[in-house]
Formats: sequence, structure tokens, C-alpha cells
Amino acid sequence: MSDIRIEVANGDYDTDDSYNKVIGYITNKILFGGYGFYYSNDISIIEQFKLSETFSDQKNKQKIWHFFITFSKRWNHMELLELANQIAFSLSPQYQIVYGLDIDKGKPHLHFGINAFSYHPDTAVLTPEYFHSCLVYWQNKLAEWYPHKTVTLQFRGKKES
Amino acid sequence: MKNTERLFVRMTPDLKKDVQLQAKKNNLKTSEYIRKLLESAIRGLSHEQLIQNSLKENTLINELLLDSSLGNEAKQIITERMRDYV
Repeated sequence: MSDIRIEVANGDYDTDDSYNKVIGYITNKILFGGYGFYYSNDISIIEQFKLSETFSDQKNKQKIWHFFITFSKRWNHMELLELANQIAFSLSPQYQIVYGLDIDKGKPHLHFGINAFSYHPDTAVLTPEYFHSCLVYWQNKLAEWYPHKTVTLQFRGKKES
Repeated sequence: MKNTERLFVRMTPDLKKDVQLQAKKNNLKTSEYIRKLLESAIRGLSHEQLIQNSLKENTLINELLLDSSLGNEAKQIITERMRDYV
């Protein structure tokens, strides 16, 4: 069992309802944050994610990516939130993202929902290959920050060390 | 739609300098900067601009969630308020 596990949720997330499911789930966590949305009574955060697809010049089946990072032992919640914020902030110049802290089911974990479509209409969409490379980058970063811990990545059921 | 039309605008040298400076600050070419200003003045802000503008507000909220001087209760109240807009 690795100390830190990055895992991409299975499922195609290729319908309009995918935004509701992922964002609804993550924003229901005890604490959530994110980048790339404003607080408006006229247009919900979920609608704002959908609009990026509407205005995008790109096509992609997958609407949104849902991934989580699980920690084997008890971690300081503040440290987890800082980590979540760092990951979300790094993606925010191009993509909308929400994160949530889950401490309910024993092992603490962070959930992320990232829009596959950028809010910049001409920016590349997050295809599986591109998104996988982003996660490998974060896997390496985490391994660098926590050299005494094992960090694994599981991308759609395939485990990678 | 491609930007195929040209528009010549007369302005003072001072204003031209200011426009060029602002474009540089925004990492845009001068023509692109002026086009974006005109678009937002006439059509309102685009989705892209609205999201870009929201990033500062997002940063503030995320920083509050990370602020160690705020208790968990306060952070949960902030989260609860944010949830109203999901």
C-alpha cells in the first residue's frame, strides 16, 4: 500500500450530467475550494463549467476529470488543504477546478474535479494522454516533496508505480 | 470569425503610450488589447474574461481556507456560503 495514491475515477463522464455529478459531489465535502468561477445568483458554478465547453473551439468526449489523492495515515488537514490549493492554483491559468477535503471515511483524501475544457476557447482540451501527463508531473512533484513516502498513480484502473 | 477588418483610430501620443503600456501589462498585443476592450464595452465581458477576473476572488477565498488564524467553524461557514452558488 503506497503512502500517497493518486487515482482517477473510473467512468466516461461524457454527458452534461457529469458536471453536476462531479462538482456536486466535491462541493459537498466538509471544505471545498477552487479556481475559475465567480459567485453569481444568475449563473451557477456548474453552469460556468459548462459554458467553457460551449465556447471552446475544441471537441472532446470527456467533459470533466475526477481524481483523488488518498493518504495512508493521518495527515494534518491544513497540510492537505495547502497541497490541494497548490495543485488547483497551478492548473487555474488554463482550467477551472474544484477541490474538496474528505475526512469522513477513515483515511483522509482530496477530491479534484477539473474541467476538460479550458475557459480559453483555443487552449488544448484535457485528453486522456494530456491529463495523464499532468498527473505524472504531480506524482513526481509529490515524490520530490515527500522523499520518504511512496507515491503511486492509478489512471483508469491501471496501476503505475 | 476571423479578424479581417481594419480600423484606424486617431489619438494623442500620450494615450497611445498608455494603451501600449496597458497591453504590455496584460501580456497582449496592442491590437488584441484594444479589441478586447471594445468587445467588453459593446457586448459585455466574455466568459473567458469573467473567469479570468474571478481568479483574484478565488485566491482570496482559498487563502482564507488556509488561514491558520481562522477556526474550523469559520471555514465551514465560508464553505457553506460558497455552496449556495454551486
